Amino acid sequence: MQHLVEWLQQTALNAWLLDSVWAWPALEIVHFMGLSLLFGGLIIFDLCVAGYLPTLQAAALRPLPRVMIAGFAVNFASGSLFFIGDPGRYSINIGFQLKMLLVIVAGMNAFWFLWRFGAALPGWQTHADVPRLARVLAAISLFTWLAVLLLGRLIPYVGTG
Amino acid sequence: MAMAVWLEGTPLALWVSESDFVYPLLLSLHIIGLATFAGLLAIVDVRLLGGLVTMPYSGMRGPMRLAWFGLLINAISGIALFASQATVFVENTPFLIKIGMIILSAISASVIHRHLNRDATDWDHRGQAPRPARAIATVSLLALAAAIIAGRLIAYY
Repeated sequence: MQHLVEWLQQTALNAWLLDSVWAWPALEIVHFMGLSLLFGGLIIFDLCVAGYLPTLQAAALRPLPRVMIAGFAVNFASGSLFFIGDPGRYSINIGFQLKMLLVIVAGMNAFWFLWRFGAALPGWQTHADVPRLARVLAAISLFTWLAVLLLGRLIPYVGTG
Repeated sequence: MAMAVWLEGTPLALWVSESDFVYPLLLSLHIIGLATFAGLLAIVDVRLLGGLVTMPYSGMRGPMRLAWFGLLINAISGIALFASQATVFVENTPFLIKIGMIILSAISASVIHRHLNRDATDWDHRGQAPRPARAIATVSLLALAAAIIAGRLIAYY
């Protein structure tokens, strides 16, 4: 990890991110917009699958994963640039490390859901059609991403090392 | 300004500014509220503008109701954060722009919510939302984007 940090600190991208007046705030703005998109999509998708949005059929949710993936892609890109711009601070930050761990957990959870239920989702016309495992995975998803948001905001305030 | 000075001296403001964990915890709640309100409202807006076609307009009533819950979390945490540094915030231009944009997005959200309750079933039959509803959805999207931009710039001004 130390080698990666030292190498990143010598890259031109690192220098540009640190020297530019507007790059950092612009990336933060993009990161906030991306997380809103991801989280908004998650709330609708996960609550609906879990059975808490009776006005919406689970079958209607088909376009939402694309919205969430777009939000995640935006945040993965902007987040990677944060890391490249300040690798020494992020790599040793407990909040950041836990956040990355939870992003991996949430990602595996999402893949599990799509692999197991992606093909069945368009057929879920009533809540009775939704399998129990799908509801459990949806609940795990919502709580994991909630913790990701919480930890992300705490990064500047928690201990390093 | 006198009111901002008074606000900073209230027990709530002192509790927020003197505790090590309350301020970051409020920031976390503030961003969870933001993501809930902005994320859900943006998806409702995109639906009104003709995107996400498999989701019926009448099905957007649930997400619209939940969006207000996000705004509530956002407002409560925001008021506590504001109180702790009221004298700084009242003179911060991005902060004032942000508050204006939040008010604009809340007004447009309430108009959209009323239309959804009254007309969504009709829109489902016609296959699209009428032009005035699409115009309000555009205003709402732009106000949300402006609120996020201005909000993030508060720390840099």
